[in-house]
Amino acid sequence: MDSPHTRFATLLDEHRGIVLKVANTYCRHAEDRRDLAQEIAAQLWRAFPGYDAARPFSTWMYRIALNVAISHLRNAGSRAPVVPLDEEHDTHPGFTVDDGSAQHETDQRLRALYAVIDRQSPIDRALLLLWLEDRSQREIADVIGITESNVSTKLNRLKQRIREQLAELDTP
Amino acid sequence: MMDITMKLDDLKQAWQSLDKRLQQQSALDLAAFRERKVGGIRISLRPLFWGQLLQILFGIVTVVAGVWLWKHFSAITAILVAGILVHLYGVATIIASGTVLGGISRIDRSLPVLELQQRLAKLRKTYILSGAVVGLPWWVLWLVPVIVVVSLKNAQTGVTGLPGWIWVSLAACTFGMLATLVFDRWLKRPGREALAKRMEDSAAGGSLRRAQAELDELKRYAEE
Repeated sequence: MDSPHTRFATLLDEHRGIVLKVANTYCRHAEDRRDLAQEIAAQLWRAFPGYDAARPFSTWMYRIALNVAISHLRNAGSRAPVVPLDEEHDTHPGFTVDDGSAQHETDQRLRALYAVIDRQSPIDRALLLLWLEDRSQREIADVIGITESNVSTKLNRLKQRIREQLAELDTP
Repeated sequence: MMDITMKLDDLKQAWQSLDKRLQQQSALDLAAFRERKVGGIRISLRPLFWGQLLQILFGIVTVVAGVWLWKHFSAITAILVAGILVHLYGVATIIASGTVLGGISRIDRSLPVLELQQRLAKLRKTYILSGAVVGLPWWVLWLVPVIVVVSLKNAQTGVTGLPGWIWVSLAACTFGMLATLVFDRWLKRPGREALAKRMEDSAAGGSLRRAQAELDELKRYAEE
């Protein structure tokens, strides 16, 4: 039978994307992201003895990762400031120069994505992340700790706010 | 301004392309989690935990001192009353610290996000209130050793009653304590936000207001 460490390492590796994406959502700088990702992994390992294998690992992992990230954000000092879209996000992964390529168009979309994320409160960032990840309303409710109907209401409001923010970003 | 018009669905596409880029980056060494000194929620609560334990110890010492005073000097009214007050203060200190420790024990990082944030906000508020319970009485408590010394001296010399200056000090300090409470409530009224903000750095009231505002915001988020 595998040791707890082996079991945890396997599960962590299978779901490493969750850790990376949460760290990316709550940190703007590469060094902070690395630090937060490792902190999340360490907290997951510490909490692993309490993990109930009958429940989905991803839900348990999202809760811990988001809680650690929100505390990290709070300790760093409230919400990240709104960043103008034309400011260089040189610390976000792989932005390229404007060469008219499809790659550059992808970069533009990523910049807009980060600008939208930065404008949300810590808990709404969690909601946004889970929606972008195509998680079911049931799982979102389980992670955030609200009812499914509340998830639906909040997502509609969040989407409306984001539409308005995207329209602002598009305005000269 | 962007060169492209973003729609809501474009965000999901952008998120998927981000996912691919993150998977390609292998810089993150998640395998080091075992060796990493755990920080985050628990580490930031550790000083609070030990601080409250020390405070409980202080409360116990205060209770012992208070009991000793009112038990051994029950014939001297001033010391009897002082001893009882010190005893009650010790009990209040222990209860306040115990309440904070109870709050710390309920912090579990695997809780749903909103629930954990509410527990953390409540813990912050409890800690601030506990600080007020432990700190405010010192407006008056500092007089206890003075009263004990003066009363014992009076007992030796046959003088009755406390000197006037102690009564004046007691009245002034009690007034000061009540004035602190009333001033804090006055600051909370609408129209005084600028003054309240200036007082924030020096008064616990600002921290309490922020903690309460955070609790209110989380409650609204849950109910909306």
